[in-house]
Amino acid sequence: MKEQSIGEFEELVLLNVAALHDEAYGVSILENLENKLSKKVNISAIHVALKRLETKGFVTSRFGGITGDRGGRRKKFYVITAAGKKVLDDVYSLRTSLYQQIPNISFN
Amino acid sequence: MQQQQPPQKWLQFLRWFCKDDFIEEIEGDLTELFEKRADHSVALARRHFMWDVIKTIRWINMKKRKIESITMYAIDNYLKIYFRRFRRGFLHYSVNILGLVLGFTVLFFVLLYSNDEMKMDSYHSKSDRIFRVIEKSETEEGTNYYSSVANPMAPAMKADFPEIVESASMVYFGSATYTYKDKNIANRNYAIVTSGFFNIWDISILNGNPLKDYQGLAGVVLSEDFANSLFGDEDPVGKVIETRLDKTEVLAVMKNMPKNATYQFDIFFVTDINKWDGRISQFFKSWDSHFMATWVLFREGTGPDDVLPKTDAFLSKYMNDDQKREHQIGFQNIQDMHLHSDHLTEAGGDPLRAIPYSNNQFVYIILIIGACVIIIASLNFINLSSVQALKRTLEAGIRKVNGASTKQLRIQLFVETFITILLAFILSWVLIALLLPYFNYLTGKTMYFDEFFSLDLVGYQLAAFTTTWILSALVPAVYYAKLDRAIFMTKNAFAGKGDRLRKAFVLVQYTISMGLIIGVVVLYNQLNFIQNKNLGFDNSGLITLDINSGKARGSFKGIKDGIAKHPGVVNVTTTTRVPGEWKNLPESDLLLSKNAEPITASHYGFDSDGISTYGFKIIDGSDFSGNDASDTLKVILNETAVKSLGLEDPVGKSIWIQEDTLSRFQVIGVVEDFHFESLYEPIKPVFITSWNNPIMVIDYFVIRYNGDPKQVLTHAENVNAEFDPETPAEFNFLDEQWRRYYKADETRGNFIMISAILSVLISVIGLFGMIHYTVERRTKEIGIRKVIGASIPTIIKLLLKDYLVLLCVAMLIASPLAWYMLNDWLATFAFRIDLSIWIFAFAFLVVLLVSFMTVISRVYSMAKSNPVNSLRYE
Repeated sequence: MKEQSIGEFEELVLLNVAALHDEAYGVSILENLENKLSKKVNISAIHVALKRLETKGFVTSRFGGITGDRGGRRKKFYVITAAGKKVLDDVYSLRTSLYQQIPNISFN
Repeated sequence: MQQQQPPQKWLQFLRWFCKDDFIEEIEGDLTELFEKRADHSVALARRHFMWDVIKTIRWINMKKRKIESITMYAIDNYLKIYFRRFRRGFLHYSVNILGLVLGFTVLFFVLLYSNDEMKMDSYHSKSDRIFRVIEKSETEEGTNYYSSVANPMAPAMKADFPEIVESASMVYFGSATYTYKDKNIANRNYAIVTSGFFNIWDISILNGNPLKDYQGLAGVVLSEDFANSLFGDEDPVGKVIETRLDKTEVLAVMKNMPKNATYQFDIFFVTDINKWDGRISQFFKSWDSHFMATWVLFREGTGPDDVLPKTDAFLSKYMNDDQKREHQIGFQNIQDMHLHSDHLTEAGGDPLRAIPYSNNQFVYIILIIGACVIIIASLNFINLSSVQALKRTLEAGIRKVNGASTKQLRIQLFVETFITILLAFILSWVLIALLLPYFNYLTGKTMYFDEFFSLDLVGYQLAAFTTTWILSALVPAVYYAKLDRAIFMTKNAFAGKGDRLRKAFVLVQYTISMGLIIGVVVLYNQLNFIQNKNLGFDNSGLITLDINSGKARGSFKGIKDGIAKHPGVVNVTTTTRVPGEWKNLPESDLLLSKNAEPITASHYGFDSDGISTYGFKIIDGSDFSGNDASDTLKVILNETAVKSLGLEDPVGKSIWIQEDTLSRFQVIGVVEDFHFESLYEPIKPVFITSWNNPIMVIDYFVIRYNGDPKQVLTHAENVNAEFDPETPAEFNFLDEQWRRYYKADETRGNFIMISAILSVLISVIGLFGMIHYTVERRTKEIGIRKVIGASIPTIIKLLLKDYLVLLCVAMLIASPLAWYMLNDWLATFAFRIDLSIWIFAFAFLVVLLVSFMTVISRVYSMAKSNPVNSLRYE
């Protein structure tokens, strides 16, 4: 099978899923992301990214319990999989190794 | 606190389009976000919610509706197969579509054009009831129709016929200028109308009231554009301007006339005939003057048929029997004005038409051409697609073995043809959108792309689409039905089937294209002929300057001498009319003796420089002396006039000229015949008198120049302004004015040429497809022939022979048809080319060469190929 790749926004969402372990669902990811990025993100972008991550096998999902909030709809929680973790590690190590190759540039 | 609800409509919408698997999560998240935001502001939260729902509309979130029916599965499969084939046989399919695209494009342009022609002047809300009065005059010389009718016709009709609820007179008196403060503009696009006019035509008033009372002879209504150029930013309503009717108040400003109006009026003078006095009032009330265009509006439910039987009694009130015979009444609907005015004789009071009358016949001709081209394209398409379908017997066989019925196979064909035609349709729309500016330029029209989707045209488009679709799918579908299962499984089961039909189609295609090509060649030859024919004088290098005021007319000698001073000016003359006249040319009766039979001749008045400025040749006698007093009763005749009068040795003889009175003139010279009308007309008798003749006043300076006309124009303008500062100078180049006679023919020529070229192109594409198919089918045969020893030329001959015969037969059919029709057209010209055999030969050769050049490489490569390969084929 072809090596699964990951886009920039997907990577951000996936990082959030990993960071919010077990508490990651649409709204919490959105809030966390908006906090960190300090800019507006649309929820549907996150939904789409989550769907893609799920088909690529980087996250799995389960439904939470019914509450009175959310119009009676359940939350859908996402958890990172081993493959998801590996992809994050790969991206991370690639970035770090490239970053370390940067010679000491002075911008003064 | 009461829990806020998200907007229910949007929630329902979300539930409607969103996939069931996702709705739980998405709706939940959106609602949660809404609830959180609603703590701050409910309105904002609602807006955010809507936005979120809109952003959720993505393909991935959509419910995919399951295809449940067998038919949908089948169509899905047909589409897949179609696009696969398209990719594999790209050349074939694109050639096939290209032919159709060209055909549709021509057809659509024809539709656009003829629709535009037929819709001329139909924008009036009451257009079905608006009629123009036409007078028919029956005399010994023939029947003439005039759109200028007796002056008091309008008020009399309204008073006498209960069916006519409104009427108006409309008249035009030549040049006009308009002055406001220091601005002075000449504009001939005006009409003098009576107030009823505004109840008949749709004229949208932007500001002011056209029916308001006014001081003086008339008030004016100005078009937006004209008001802008005269007044700039000022509000024109209520201002007084200086016009040919003295001081005139601006009553109103109207929208510019729509582009599909024959008359593009900028100014209406609104007048009440009762306000005029003296001679002019007499003129308005005289049943002997026929100068007014008259518009009438019929009561709803009535029409000309209700009034016509009563017109005889009506006229008896105002005329005696003889006059009545010369002025019978008819009506013409305003919508017929553009295409059905060929029979009208031009007369004095008609306002300037911005869009010249056209004729019905040409609209029919191009509709026929459009139909021809689309027939060629469809036949082509049928041929190529049936060939293609027949090659697919293996696929059909497998489908059948798997249980497909013949009906299903046919449906497949219909689906595929549908897609192809749809593609062609869309492409031709694109092509039309791209080519429309050029097309407008070519036809002198202003059409917009959106007109193309007007209701009528969409109907025609649908008809064209369905006809092509059904016909082109039908032919191969019929073959499919005939076959039994076993044969299906071989690859070339249909080889040779339907060849005769296909050849018949090719024959029809080529007959039409050749007919069109012959038509184009003849048309261009004829137009070329008349434009280069010797007119009897040189019409290039001549400038005319209109004499539009009494001031200029009074001091014409000074102006003439002034203009002559410029070194670029070879000659100047003052004349009443010019050859190729665009205003009306006066005619008078010439008589040999007081009681002799008169002949009608056209009149020109020249000064003593006239003959030499135009370059006419005096073949007998002499020119005017230049002595005004003695020239005034002298006359020069053209050869035709001398012949018609039966004058022998004319110089020195006397003739009588009937105008208001009968006066005796002495013939001093004979001038060689020259053309003074379009070459549709034969040369008629002409008599030339001195400028100070009793028939007509001088109206033009005519300047023959050398070198740069610009300097001459500036010079003449300055001289004119010196003597007459108020009237702006109006110049024309005489040869350009001559060209207007043939403008319509040129447009037609271009139109027909383009369709002819396209039709040949489509036919060639068709031929290419056919030969391609033939070559493919006969691969093995050719291989065997080569092994036995056939040479390359033999094989080329073998492949092309059939088609050469087809082309010859097409030629034989097309020639007499084209000959017959073109002869009719040529007969309308008084001076014309002969239809020689060479024109036909030329057309044939062109088509032959173009066709065979296209296919020869394919045929040659086949003939040259190694028989080993071809024998292994299949």
